[in-house]
Parts: sequence; C-alpha cells; structure tokens
Amino acid sequence: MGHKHAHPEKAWQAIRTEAIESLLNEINVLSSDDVDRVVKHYEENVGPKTGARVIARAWVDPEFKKRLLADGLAACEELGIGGPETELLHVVENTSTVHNVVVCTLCSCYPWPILGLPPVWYKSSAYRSRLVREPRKVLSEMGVVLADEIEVRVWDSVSEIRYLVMPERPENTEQLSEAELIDLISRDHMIGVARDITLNSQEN
Amino acid sequence: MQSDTLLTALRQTGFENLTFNTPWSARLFGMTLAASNKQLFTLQQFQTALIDRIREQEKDGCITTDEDYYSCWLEALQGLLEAKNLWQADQLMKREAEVVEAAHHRQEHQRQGQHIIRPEAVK
Repeated sequence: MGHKHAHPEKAWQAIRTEAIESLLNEINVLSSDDVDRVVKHYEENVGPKTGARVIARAWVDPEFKKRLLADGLAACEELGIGGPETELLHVVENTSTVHNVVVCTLCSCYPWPILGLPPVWYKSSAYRSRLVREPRKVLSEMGVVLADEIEVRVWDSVSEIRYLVMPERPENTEQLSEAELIDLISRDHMIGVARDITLNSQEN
Repeated sequence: MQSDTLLTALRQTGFENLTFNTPWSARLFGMTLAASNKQLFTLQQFQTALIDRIREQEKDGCITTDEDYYSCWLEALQGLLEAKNLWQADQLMKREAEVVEAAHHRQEHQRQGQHIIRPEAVK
C-alpha cells in the first residue's frame, strides 16, 4: 500500500521502452548508437520535403515521371532517396478526372523514407475505418470537396506496397524553378487529403 | 458517433507535424528499425504483429492519439522479442523496476537540489 503511484510522471510505455532497450544493449543485440542513428535520421533528414522533391522532379522531367510511375522505388533511388523500410513504391497520378488517396486500414503503413512519419490522424481508427467506406465524405471533412464526375481511388497500403500520390502540376507554373515547385507540394497532397495547389500570392 | 468531428479535431492538433510526440515513441521506432536492420525480424513480421495488436485494441475502443498507436507498437515489438527468448520471463519486469527506481533517485536528487556527485568523485 505504501508504494502506490510513486512515479505518475513516467508513463508505463516510457518505462517499458527504456527497459527493453537496456536489455537489448546488455545482451549485445542492439546498441544505443544503432537506435540513435535511426531516430536522428528520421528527425533530421526525412520528411514530406523528400516526397516533394520526387514529385517536382516528375513535373519537370517527363522521362523521370515515366520511370517513377513504372517503378517508384527505382526512380527515387536516382535521387538518392530510399531505404530498407520500403520495398515497393507505387506512385499514383491525379488527373482532372481522378483523385487518389492513401490509407492503411489494418495498421498505418506509410512510405516512411519518402514522407517521414505519418500524422496522428492517419493512424486513427476513424480515418482508417471511414476512408474506404465513405471517401468523399471524409475527404470533404478534410477540405477536399470533389465534383461528382471526379473518380476517387482509395489505395489501401497492404503487405509491402506503399503509395504516393502525385498531384497535378498547377497551371501557370512554367516559370517556376524546381525548388519553387517543391515548396508548393505538401504532405497532405501526397497522401491525397489535399488536392488543390495554391501558388504563393507573389505574382500580384 | 463523434468520429465525424474526430478527424477534424485530430487534424487541428498542433502535434501532427512533430516527428515524434514523445521521447519514448522515438526510441521505440528507432529500436524497431534497428532491430530489423540487424535481422532480428523482418518489417513484414513486425507489421503482422502490429496489425494483430491494433485489431485487439480496436475491439475495445478507438485509436485516437499517438499514445494509443505507439502503445500498440510497443506491445507488438515486445511480443516479437519475447518470442525470440532473448531474456528470461521475469527479466523485463525486473528491469522496469530498476528504470523506475533510477528515475525516482534522479527526482529525489533534483527535489533536494543535489547534484549526483558522490563524495569520492570530488576528492
């Protein structure tokens, strides 16, 4: 009785994670450096910008785009992007009549090396269970209202396939550099929960 | 059902743009990838374990927070490692107690304004 809630400030998950890491260290299975390296890489190097680089390149280079649509991972490797965490990357292209959106109904598979880690809502039961059932409704709640004639394709990330949505290149962007195009593309565009790409208001 | 607004609410949380919301979820993620790099298991095996754990969790309720999600992740990883018999059954529990104890000591020292410098270390 004398020891209840001695340390409410440390979550049980934090305690167990630390204990497991410490045991793995002790039996020489994993060093903390190994773990540090992964965490640092994800915190510092990987994020939606990586995916935006891929999309912008496809917009400016039709040959690259062909290769990207044919074999996503191989094309990403040309840009030095990738890693052992993804085995198959399927890039799906939005058009004026098709809108693509990605979900993982069973857990929350996500193209980590291309987009970083998924946002909280992507992992939520609500998104995972509702997107397949009522994609138009979920999309409209998230700000994407689609005309009836636009077909919605929902891609469920099962087994080893990961998906990346290629948004349409907006009009009147011929004068923009690749770097400027990269800045237009957000994580949500590449998951498919955003569609329109707004140009920075610098033109007028 | 409140799930209509749930998505919107989740979307509006400032947290969603952080890579990891808690230090432990970062360690957990790092450990999982590092362990699979060392071929303790494949990411496919991990994915299967995670799917099972999430299915279990969703029998009782929804996953709405990062904490819910990474708790499932933690239990999936724990299950995979325990299946490898890397340690004795009670070893993890003991180590958890040690972690708690160490945290307690650090807090005590902080509370008393002490630094963790033992007399023999300063002589």
